[in-house]
Amino acid sequence: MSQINDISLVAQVVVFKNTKAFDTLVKKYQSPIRRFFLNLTLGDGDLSDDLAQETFIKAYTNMASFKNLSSFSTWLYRIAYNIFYDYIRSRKESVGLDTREVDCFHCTEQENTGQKMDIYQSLKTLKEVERTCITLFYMEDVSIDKIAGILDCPTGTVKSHLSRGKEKLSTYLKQNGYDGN
Amino acid sequence: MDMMEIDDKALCRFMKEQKQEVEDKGFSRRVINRLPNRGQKLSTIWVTFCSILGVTLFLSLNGLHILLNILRDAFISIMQSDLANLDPKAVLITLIVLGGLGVYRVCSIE
Repeated sequence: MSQINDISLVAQVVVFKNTKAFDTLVKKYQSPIRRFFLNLTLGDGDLSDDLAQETFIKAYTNMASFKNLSSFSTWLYRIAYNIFYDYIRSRKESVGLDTREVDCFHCTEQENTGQKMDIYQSLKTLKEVERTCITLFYMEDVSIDKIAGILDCPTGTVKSHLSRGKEKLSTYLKQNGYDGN
Repeated sequence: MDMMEIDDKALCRFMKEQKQEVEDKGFSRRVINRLPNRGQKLSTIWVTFCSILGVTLFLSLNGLHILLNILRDAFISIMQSDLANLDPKAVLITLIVLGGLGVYRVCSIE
C-alpha cells in the first residue's frame, strides 16, 4: 500500500511538478535519510542535513528517471549513498586526508557507557562502505539484495562488508562493556 | 565464533536501541524552498499577476478610448503635415528597427 502511495506521489511530481506531493515524500523519508547520513558522518548534524537536502533536490530533478524497478526508498538511498561517496571523494581531493582522518574530522566525542554507548563511536571503527552496509541492514532493515542495488555491487561483496563490519563492531562493543543482554 | 564477538541478535538489538526518529524541524520546508523550479514558478505567477493588473487598469481607466484618440490625432497631424518632406528611406529603416525590436521582445517572453 505504501509502495502504491509512493508511486502515485512520484507520478504527480513527474507529470504535474506537484510540490505538495513531493513535500509528502520528503516528510515521509526525511527521518530515515537524515539518520542514514548521521550514521555515515558519525553524528555531524549540519553536514547530514546538507547532504540530505542535496539528496532530495537531486531526487526531485531526476524523478522522471525513477523506473519503479526498485522501491522509492531504495532509489532514494542509492542517490544518498552516491552523494555521500561524492562528498568523501571531494574531501579527500581537497584536503588530502585518508578515510579514517575524514571520519575523525566529523566525529562527535561522547561518553561510552554500557547500553547507552554512542553509536557513532562504534561506527567510527568501520570503513564507510562497511558502515553503510551495517547501518542499512541492521538499523534500516534493508535486505542484502537491496543494499547490493544501492551500492551497485554484487550481493557477495555486501555479505563480505557486513561480515567484516559485524566482526569489528561486535569486538568494539564487547571491549567497551556491551554484553548484548 | 570469536570470544570477543557478540552474536547477530545482540548486534541487531544494539542497532535498534540506537535507532531514533529524526524530527523534521523545518527540514522539509527548506528542501521545498530550494527546489529548482520554484523560482521560475514564482516568476510566472508574478508576471501573470502584473499582466492581469495592467489590463484591468487599462480597461477601467478607459485606456482604449485614450489610445484611439492618440492614434487618431497622430494620424491627422501626419496627414496635415508636409508629406513631401518625409524621407521614405528613414521611414523604412524606422519600421524595420521597430519591427525587429517587437519580434525580439515577443521571442524573449517564455
